[in-house]
Amino acid sequence: MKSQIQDHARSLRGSSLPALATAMIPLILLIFGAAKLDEFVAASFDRYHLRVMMDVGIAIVLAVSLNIVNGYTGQFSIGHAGFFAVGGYVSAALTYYVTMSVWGEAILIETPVSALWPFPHLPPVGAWIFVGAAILGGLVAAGAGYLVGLPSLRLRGDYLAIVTLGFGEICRVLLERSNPQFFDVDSMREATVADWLPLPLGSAQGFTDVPKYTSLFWVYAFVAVTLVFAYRLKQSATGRALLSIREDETAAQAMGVNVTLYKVRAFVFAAFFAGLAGALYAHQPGTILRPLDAGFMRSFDVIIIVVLGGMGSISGATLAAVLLTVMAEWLRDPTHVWYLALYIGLARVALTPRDNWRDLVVIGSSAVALESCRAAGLFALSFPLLSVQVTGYELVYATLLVVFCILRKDVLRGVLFVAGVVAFAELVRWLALKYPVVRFGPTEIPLRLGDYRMVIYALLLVSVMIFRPQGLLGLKEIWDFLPSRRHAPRTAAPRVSGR
Amino acid sequence: MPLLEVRDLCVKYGAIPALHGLSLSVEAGQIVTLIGCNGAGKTTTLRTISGLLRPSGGSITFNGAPIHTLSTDGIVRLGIAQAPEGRGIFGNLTVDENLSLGAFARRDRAGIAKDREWALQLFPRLRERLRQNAGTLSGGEQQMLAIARSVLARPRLLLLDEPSLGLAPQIVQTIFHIIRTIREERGTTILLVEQNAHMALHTADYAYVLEVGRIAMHGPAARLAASDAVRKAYLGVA
Amino acid sequence: MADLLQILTMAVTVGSLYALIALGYTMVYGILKFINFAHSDVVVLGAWGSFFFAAALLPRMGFGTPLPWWAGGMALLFAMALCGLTGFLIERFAYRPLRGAPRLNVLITAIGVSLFLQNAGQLQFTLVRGDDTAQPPAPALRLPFGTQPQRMPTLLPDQDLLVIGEGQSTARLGSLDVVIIATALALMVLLDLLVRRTKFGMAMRAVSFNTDSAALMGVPVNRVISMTFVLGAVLAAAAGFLYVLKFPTVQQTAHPTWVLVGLKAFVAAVVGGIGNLRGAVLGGFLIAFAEQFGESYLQKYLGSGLKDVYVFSALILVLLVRPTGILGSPLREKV
Repeated sequence: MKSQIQDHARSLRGSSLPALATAMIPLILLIFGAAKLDEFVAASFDRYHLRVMMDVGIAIVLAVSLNIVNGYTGQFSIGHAGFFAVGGYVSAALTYYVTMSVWGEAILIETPVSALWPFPHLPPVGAWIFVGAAILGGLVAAGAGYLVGLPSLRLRGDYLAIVTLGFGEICRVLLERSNPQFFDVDSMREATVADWLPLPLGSAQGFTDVPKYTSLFWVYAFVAVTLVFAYRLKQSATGRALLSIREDETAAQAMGVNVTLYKVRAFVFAAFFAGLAGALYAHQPGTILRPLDAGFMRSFDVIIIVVLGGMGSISGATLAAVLLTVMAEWLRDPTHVWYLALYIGLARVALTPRDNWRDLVVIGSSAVALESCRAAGLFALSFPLLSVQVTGYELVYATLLVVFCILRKDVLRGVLFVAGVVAFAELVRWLALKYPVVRFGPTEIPLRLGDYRMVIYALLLVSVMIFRPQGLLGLKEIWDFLPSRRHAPRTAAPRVSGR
Repeated sequence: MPLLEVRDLCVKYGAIPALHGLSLSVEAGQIVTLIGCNGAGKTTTLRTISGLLRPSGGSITFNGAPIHTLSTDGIVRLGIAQAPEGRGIFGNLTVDENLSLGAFARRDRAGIAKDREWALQLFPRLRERLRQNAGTLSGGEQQMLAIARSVLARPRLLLLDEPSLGLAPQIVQTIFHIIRTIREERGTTILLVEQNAHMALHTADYAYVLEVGRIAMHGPAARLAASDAVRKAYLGVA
Repeated sequence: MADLLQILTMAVTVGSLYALIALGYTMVYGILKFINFAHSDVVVLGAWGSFFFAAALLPRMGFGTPLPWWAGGMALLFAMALCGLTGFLIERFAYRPLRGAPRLNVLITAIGVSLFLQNAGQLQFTLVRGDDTAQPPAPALRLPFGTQPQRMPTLLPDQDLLVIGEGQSTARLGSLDVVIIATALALMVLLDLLVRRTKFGMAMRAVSFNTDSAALMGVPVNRVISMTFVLGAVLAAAAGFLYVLKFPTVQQTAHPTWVLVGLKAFVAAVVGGIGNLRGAVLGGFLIAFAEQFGESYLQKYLGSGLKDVYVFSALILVLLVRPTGILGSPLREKV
């Protein structure tokens, strides 16, 4: 009887071969895309922009992994940075100490694999050490995820969240209390047990001089793996079990879902990918791993991305990871407040009369397109308007805004909005330029909006939560907004979750 | 002029409508009952009158003044008290404190003390348990406390939401008896929501039958109790 | 013996600070069922507010050193007023629009408010009066926020009240410790009286048990919630003030020290059973004892600087044994 049921269940799931193929094809395509991206972009962008693009990729991996716990399963984890740090530190220590003990110093190993292997185009030996270390880091993080997931046997809701918070903080303190790093082979050879325990992970100063293997290719290859895995997981039986726990834990249990098992699984998967993200971060040029990377502020950064994207939405998390990472960087330039106001204006107008998300997608993609045109140096033309040098770029935005208003037969609102945005931006500039009486910032620079970056960021966050509480995409995926002939199977209806 | 007048009331939960155009009126001094099945919108109606839900259309006037834009505590201060569905007892407070909360909006100490005495005479069981945590009361006692508490607000209109829910038949009799007593001794107007149509029609002067968000029938309670449709659907008489 | 007494004094002092902060977390959780992550930033505001009062306002009002004895009290009241107002504004403009929204959203908003306070607190304002052509401009009033740590002026002298033992193992009870413990305890007793004995307190408890039902009793729910935030913020102000009295380095608003103080107070609230006022006080002392005793007695075996590990381990242990904290009521599950 029991085996019959199992057979039936297996037949319902379908055979596993086509499933493997459907997973592999997009994966291979995406990794190929990552390689091409690396080839084209790495040549034409400067180091700063490359770095931001890598940050974006790492944020995507982190957000999508947290989404497995927070979004799919509805468990509230606020210690995700702990897994991130575990993965980062483990992989960094592996590459650093392995390279040091084999080659004598921790440098990039550029020896081509072709010496050992008949394929000439593969990445060099060092890169493979890095990948191995990253996977090991991910696995150790997954082990930690297993441990953190276990209390879910007894704890629910906020209390489980608090345990995850405690985990992250314990990771941070333990890293702070770790031994200093060995900087050369000799000190490593002469080290006593007391130098090795607690592990030499650089104490509060952070772990430095890790060989910088992370490139755009590796970041986006890992992004591809994460995205495909997350998508396949959501479609699988396990994914449905996770979603059922999110919707109603008691009901899921009553339907025969082993709630604890699946919660632990969710934690293990999420921790693994967070560990991978940590490994990427650890080997990224220009970063130093610090114990604060395990702290709860970093966990919050990730939660913010997931909630902003919409719980359980993979594309939402990706979109939000891109938006937030880019925005936080972008606000470093004070003049960008002007653009920001325009962006908000556009989004607001597109959203006000009715909730039409196709418009937002159009706006989003045109914003990305415009932003890349601007980066590429198009729209060079500029002319003075009041006190501002308006570029063609801003003009295009304003036009887009007006077009939307006309399409919406809501011209008055549009005009008012443009006027409001211009007036606001003007006011800020006017205050800054004409009235250095109020001095902001420690130096004599009249108004450094760059100082306000995080303040503005925080205000935006609060406003989004108030005006769009379900996040950018809600529970849906981007493709749910596209017109389609057949009705794609939607994910569960939005839950009106009470307090 | 009726004491309470509800006109074309529409209420939605998100996008799902619960009431579409409900109208009813309650004359001062009457007991009016609203009967209907599960999900007909009875509790929604009462919660909207009390301001816990906002209507998407229609109006509610109390004593000639619109109240559907007021806050719940403002409505209570105007004289509409409610004993909510599931009783809404504060289990972490003592019975005594629950009673004082009933009179929260009142300032006249002497009047409150007198009303409290009257309510305790109505429900002698509560007097024995004044110092006890309300969470430890039995279902019937909790219902008594809920009614006593709402009476202490000295309302002009008392809204009772399924006072018989989950109680033994014996206690249901007592509760309905007390509902009549409240009207007789205090002249309080009562809007009674019930699934127990038999008891409700027996107690009330006037009745409304609610079906999926609309009034299906209304009339003097005795006449409705005699009508075939109501007898079949709600009284279980073939 | 003297060691033990010394640790005990420290634990009670720090514990009473944690307890004051934990009360704010627990009150808000009790009523709105969400973790107000911005609460620790209100503590910081209290610390900076009292620093501002002591370092900038008192001298401008013409008080030099030595300061009058009531200066401390004035600074406390100033910080309380400042934080109370801030607490009110936070609730009104950030949390009230989200009443009934999913909890995660409210939580993110709390984090947003926290980020806002932290970063706004790092901005440095200098208001320059009159003619701005003077180089360099003469500052009329400088709001002493910024990215640099400041030193809190001594408002109260710290005299030895009791010294036991000598040399390495001395136990010392300073007047400052007594002031801190006494102020904290007095505030806790006042709060307890307010919550248990007054009509407002009754309304507060009713709202926390069942908001809708409380509204039906004529309780102005929004006002009660506002007042709860104000109360929590006032206690946080007191904690911030007492903290900088004891540890006079006022760190910048986003400094990890503050984050940790807030986090531990929050842990205290959870350990005691979140939503339960007496639990918060109990948890505050328990956490302080865990960290102080752990640090002193386990140092030999595990190494120093592991205070935070003891705190969070205590948290996880307590939650595994009692999933809703020591005095917390068991979870009611609705099916």
